[in-house]
Amino acid sequence: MKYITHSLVILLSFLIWAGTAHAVEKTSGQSRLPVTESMVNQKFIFIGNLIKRSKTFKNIEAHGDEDVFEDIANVKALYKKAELSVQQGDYEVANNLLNEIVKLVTSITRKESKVTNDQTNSLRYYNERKATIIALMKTFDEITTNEQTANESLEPRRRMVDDFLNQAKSNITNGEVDGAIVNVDKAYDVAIRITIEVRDGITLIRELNFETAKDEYLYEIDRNDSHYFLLDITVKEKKPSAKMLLSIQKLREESDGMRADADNEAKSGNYEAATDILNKSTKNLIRAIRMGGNFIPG
Amino acid sequence: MKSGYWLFILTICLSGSGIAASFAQEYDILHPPLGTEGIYDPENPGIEYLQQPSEALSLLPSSPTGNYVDWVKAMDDSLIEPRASIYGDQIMRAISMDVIMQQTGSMPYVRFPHYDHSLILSCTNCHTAIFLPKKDANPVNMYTILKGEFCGVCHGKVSFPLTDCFRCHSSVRDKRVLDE
Repeated sequence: MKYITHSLVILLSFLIWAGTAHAVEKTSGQSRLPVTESMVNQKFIFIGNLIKRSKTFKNIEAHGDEDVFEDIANVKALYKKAELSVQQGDYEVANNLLNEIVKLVTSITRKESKVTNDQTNSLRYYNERKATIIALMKTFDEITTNEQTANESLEPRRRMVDDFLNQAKSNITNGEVDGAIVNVDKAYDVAIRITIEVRDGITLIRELNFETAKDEYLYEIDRNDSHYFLLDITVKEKKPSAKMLLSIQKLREESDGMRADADNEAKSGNYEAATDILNKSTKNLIRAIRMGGNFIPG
Repeated sequence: MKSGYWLFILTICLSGSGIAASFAQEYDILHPPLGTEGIYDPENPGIEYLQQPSEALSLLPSSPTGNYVDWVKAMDDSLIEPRASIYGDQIMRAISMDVIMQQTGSMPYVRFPHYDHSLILSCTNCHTAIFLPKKDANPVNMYTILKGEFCGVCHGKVSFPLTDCFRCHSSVRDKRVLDE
């Protein structure tokens, strides 16, 4: 008994030690990669590609101004120094030089691309925001007119949206993109606030009403198509057994046949009959989807 | 002597659970370690310096699909607080407006919660490029979604997958209940 207890104590002590060691190893973590020969060599090749072969760097060389040319010369000089350090086996120095190159190339790239990117992004941002505001306000106007929810506090702010938008448009005409962004943002902010005021806490219901038998048939076609899609996804994701796959395939073929029958009925103008057949086809697909391992009601 | 023995056993159990937790983290099935998931290069020496998905994701509320995290609940529980902008100088204006879609065939109705979406997206992200903010202006159905339009622009790609049916088809079919 005594030996068993001692053995247990030794075993459990080891477990404590192992647990603690593992935890320390997990949490201590170094802040940066250790500098090794293979790592520096790999980095040297990558950065060589960046400054000799990359499209970005070639573009910079082709379009850069005088400041940029000076930076490019610095990059190349640093790379030569790094090459020398690698040859001499001084990997720590080489690594630092390569890091310097990355920083420099990043700053050149930003400097070069800032102007064009900023303008393109700002214009895109302006156009998207403007489209959102116009659409939201169109709906807002319909809501306030139809539901008579307009009030004294909303109307001046509704006008503010148009004022800010008009200012933004004149900014654009005068080439003041930054000013346009400020104004379109102001318009957006007010538009969102008043939209929230008339719509917050509301539940909208999209009802299912078909005006004609053809409309219902077209709806059933979409529903049938989406179940085919869903079946494909289910089979791909759930990976049913080979035996189950055979049954699924059989149901699918039956559905295909019914779909063809429905199409023929629709061509003859018998949309009601076509809808009934499509319903049966979809039900078959639902069974197949369930067999595949995805439960859906129906 | 006896109380010392039980104290010792308790220490062992705590240590053992620590080891089990480390093991679970290392071999997390839901959040596989970097390099085993087919995205990161396991040969890259830098991989061990990156945070393991299990370390961050296993602390968040779980979901049965996707990356197994319920991100909306994580926000509701204040476990994550997404920034409104890079510099944190903007605020999100969330709107609480549900849209119930009844064209769902045999499935429960779809409840689209504007609130959950507007907590992390600007109106411009969806309106007007994806959805027109107008009643019956968006012919949404599973076919178009599965093709990657409407909800399918994000869901199935960066948001929860389309096979998690009842996350969207979450509304009972009885309209009387909806009206209450």
